[in-house]
Amino acid sequence: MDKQSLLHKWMNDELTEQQEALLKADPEMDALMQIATESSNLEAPEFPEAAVWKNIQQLNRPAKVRRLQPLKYVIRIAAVFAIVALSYVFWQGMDTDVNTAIAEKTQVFLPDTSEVALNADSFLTYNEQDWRNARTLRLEGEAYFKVAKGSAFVVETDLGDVTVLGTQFNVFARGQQLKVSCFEGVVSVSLDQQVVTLKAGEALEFTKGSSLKNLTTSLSAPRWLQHESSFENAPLSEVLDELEHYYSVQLEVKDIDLKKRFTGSFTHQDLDIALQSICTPLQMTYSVLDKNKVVLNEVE
Amino acid sequence: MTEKDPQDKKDICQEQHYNALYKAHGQALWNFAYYKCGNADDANDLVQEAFVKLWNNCRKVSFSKARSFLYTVTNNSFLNAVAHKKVVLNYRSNQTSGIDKQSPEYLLEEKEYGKKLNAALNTLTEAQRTAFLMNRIDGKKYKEIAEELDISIKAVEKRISQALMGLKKNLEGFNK
Repeated sequence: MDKQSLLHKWMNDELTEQQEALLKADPEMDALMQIATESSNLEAPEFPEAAVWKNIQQLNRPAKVRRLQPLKYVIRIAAVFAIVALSYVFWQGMDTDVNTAIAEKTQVFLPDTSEVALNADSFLTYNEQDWRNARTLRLEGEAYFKVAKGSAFVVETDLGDVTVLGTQFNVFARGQQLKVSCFEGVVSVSLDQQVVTLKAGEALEFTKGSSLKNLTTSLSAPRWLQHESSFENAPLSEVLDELEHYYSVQLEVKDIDLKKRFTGSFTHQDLDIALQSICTPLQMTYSVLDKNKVVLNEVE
Repeated sequence: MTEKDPQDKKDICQEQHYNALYKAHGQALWNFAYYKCGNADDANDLVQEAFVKLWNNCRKVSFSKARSFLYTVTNNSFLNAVAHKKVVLNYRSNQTSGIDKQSPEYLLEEKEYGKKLNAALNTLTEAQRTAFLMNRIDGKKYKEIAEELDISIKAVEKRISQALMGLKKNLEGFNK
């Protein structure tokens, strides 16, 4: 067998030790074999196995990805064409999402001229295309609705659905609470166990795992539209939870009974005044530390 | 008259089998891509693209053919995109372990040699370099390389011979 063939056999670990020694006797072969041996000591860089797999999974399942991965070569080109070609179709079918950050309020105009005022730290979503057939939207947080007369208008929340025909009402859906106030017209609220109808001036407060309260309201619109939150005999924990939707603060409470009842209001526009409005009637003090931390204490 | 490979019962469209293929071939395919293009980012992209193509074609590719599919796709993507880019490779040099002569001069020589070897590898053609490193770093036998590159064993031999000759020529004059 010629030397080249033997060399290749050696590269494949198919030679015996004697055969290897014989081959090495040839200086030219020896030189090549040394290079080959040195080369086997090389290593490729580390394979980023997990990261590459994560990218593959994301590329295979582009369902709700809002950002495109840095794609290259054929996939990038194909994706651009696909997006351009299908964007019109997609746009029609996509939901419209509205988000408010802490301390932010905004107004939404729905396709049928209904108006929604969205309170801070809340989320609303609806489908513009479907609006003609069914006026349904989903709410997390708080919003005030001025609904144009027409077909049934439904607000879906975690704890229940609110249905109206043409009216003005407020929906508060946070955590374990659903509170609905009707200012005009008629509102139907369907909870898990029951359906409640509210007329103008009526309101309900539902806490999961607890009772349903029927209340009245003498207001013509919710207070938060005037940048104020008001409470009547509400537990302090609830008041402080609300505060955190209007101000980006971390509240720390030292030795205070959070079940204490509060009647009053606080402004959305000035943290110090807001804190004073809460603390003074309840005999508490507060201190604002850096990094948006507020500590509340009992007055000695 | 091809006998049915029992592995072909595995449907690639099923996640567990698709995952298994990644575990089995991901590393080697990545090395393959790296030998070709010489940088990790491009290698990542080539591997990702190959596996995505496999997923999209999972109905058409049988389990036993998946490996050659992956290599072919990777090779084609590389040819389409990076063939004209100047390639600068850099391999980590693994110290020859267990050798006692670790004098500073020797270590320096080893490091220098490693650099020279890297530079020499850069002067090979992509075909020569890839076949050579698949044998040397990945430890693949010629038969396997032939299958993955879709060429004959003779062609593998030729590429590796050329690689060795090319390296020798380039390293000539280096005191070893």
